[in-house]
Amino acid sequence: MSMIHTEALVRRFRGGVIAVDGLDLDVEEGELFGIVGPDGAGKTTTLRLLAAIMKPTGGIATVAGYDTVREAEAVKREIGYMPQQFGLYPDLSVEENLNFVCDIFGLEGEERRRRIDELLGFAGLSEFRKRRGGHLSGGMQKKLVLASALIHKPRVLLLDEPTTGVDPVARRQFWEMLSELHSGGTTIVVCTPYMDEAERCNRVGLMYEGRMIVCDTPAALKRMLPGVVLAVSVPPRAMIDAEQALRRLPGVLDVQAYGDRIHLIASGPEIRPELEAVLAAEGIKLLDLRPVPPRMEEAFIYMIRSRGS
Amino acid sequence: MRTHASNIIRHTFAIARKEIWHIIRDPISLFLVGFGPVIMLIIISYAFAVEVRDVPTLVLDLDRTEASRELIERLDATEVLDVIGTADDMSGVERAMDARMARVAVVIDRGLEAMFPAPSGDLLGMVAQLAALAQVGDRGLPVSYIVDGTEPISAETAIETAIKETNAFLVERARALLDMLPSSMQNLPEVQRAREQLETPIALEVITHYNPEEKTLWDLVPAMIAIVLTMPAMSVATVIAKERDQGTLEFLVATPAARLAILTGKMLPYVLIGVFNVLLMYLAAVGVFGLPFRGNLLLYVALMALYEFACLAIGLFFSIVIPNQEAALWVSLMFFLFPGFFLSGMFFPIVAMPLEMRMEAMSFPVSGGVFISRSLFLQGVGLDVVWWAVGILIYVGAIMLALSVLFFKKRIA
Repeated sequence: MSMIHTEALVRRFRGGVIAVDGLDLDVEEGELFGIVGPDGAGKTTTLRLLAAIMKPTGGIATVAGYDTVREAEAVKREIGYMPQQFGLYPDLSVEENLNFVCDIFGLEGEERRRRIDELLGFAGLSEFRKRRGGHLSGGMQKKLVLASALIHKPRVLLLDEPTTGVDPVARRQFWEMLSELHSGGTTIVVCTPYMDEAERCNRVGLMYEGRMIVCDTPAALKRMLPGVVLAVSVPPRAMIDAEQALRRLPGVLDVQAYGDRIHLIASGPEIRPELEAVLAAEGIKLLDLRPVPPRMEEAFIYMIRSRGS
Repeated sequence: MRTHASNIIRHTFAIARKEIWHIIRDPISLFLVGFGPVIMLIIISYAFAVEVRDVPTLVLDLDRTEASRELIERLDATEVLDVIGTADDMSGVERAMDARMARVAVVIDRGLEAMFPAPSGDLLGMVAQLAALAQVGDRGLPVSYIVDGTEPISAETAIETAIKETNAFLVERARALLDMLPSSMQNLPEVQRAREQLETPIALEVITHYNPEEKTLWDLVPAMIAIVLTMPAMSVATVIAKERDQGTLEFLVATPAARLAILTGKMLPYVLIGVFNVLLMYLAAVGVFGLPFRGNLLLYVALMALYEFACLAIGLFFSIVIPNQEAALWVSLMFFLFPGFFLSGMFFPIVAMPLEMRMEAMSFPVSGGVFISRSLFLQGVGLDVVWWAVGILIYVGAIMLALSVLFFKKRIA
């Protein structure tokens, strides 16, 4: 049986906004599952529904075999939840924050000491025991919340944008922690706006307007992109004009500028002569043109754009 | 799944411990909750402790005798009354009262001196007349008082003083006349009976219990103790909103901490602070204001802790149903402070209120607190007298805690 299972899960807010609209999802035990999607797609609401801190307006969800409505408190014993905002007490020290969570879960004496030492070491916070939560850097705060969420060795981790606002080094460290937990068998669901993070997941679901429009392995998702991705290089001053010219080109599905290159999703490589002609008509010199492997980002932007139109 | 009792207790202490850390970490709020009430008690008590003095008093003396002059001197000699002059007739009295020159007027009709026997050879007749004085009653007295009621507190004090002095004057003058009889007559049964009769007050007298010197402060301080104990309840009114605002509520509700435990855990430190405050205020009342404490201190602290619990339960309920800190603070301020002053019986006696208002006042927990505090402090009574107020506090506390648990959802709205 799946560790997380939802069927036609719906959450409608007062005022008629439907944040989650008929979500069917299965996450297997030990899986590292990523949820990506634009702001307002329903990612946070989905995690809150799974964490049993929000009631669905329709459908069902079970986590670790417990129903999130009827057995909400049992679900809470099995999960570690990391809200998007800093979820711990800024006026309490690192150690006090962890002690508080130990108090809640009833970890005492030697067991508590060992667990706290272990988690502080794991999170790289051993030297900051006495520092107040509010005085930690953004990255350390996130690691502290993760450590708190791990006190009771949960079977399922639900992480809501755990690395937003964190510097790249801390982000990498955070993901190293997740990889370790993942190899230890913990089921992890993580919402993220970062495509490189999505790429680290076993499977990724793309949410858009409350629905999961695709859900598969990163490799399979990238293969869903029709046609090819071409990287076009033009002189820096001509970038804006070139981007606009390329958009008008028939057979081009999407155009994205990346600094000194323009990536375009085209139906096929045979578009080259037409492309050169369009740029020449604008007086833009084509410096380089080559096919590149598609990235997650392109796959998702393409999927969202094709939905939107 | 049922949450076991041991879990609830463990969670309560977990939350309480964390709440104590919060309070200790913030020195300003620590000072405010720890010492705010006793500071408020001292400041407000001084401000309200109005001793009535030198009420301007006008005299209309139609008797114009030695007796009437003696009475006027006695009244003037009191701290409360100050004789500012004499009027020639009633219209003069009316004018002075209308112009608010005088607050009290003493009208001495003809016949005051005549109540006392004139010196004569009939000594036994004199004794009989003096004995008869005791039966005059306040209707037979040729003295009346007019008082300006626009300031009820000073009016009441002034009139009580005037009545007391008049009584004392009559009794002392009559006794002095008895003393002047020849020593051979002092042992006569008629004289002794006359003395005995003069022991009882002649006119209607006000007898003040518990607070014989009628110090406003004595009455005020115990009531004020109960009112300032609502301050911790106002702090509690913001605790849930605060967790919500700083984003920690979302983490907390995603843990298996029981609802009842979260709420009682948040209240517990404030009950302890309340007990600390009660002890501190007891010391201030006795040490600074010189109040006598006549009850059982242990019972007093226990009942005040119960009262604090009832107030905290109400504050907590506000905290749950009002989603932002500022609004929660205002609602609790309006709920506790204003009715605290006017509905609790601190200034206006509850027994004098109309029935509906009396019921409203009785079910208001601050009234119970004021009643218990005054009863134990000044009267020295125990549970046999205050049991009904204790019942109301238990009832209000339990209902509000139950409502809080009912309304507090471990969910994000």
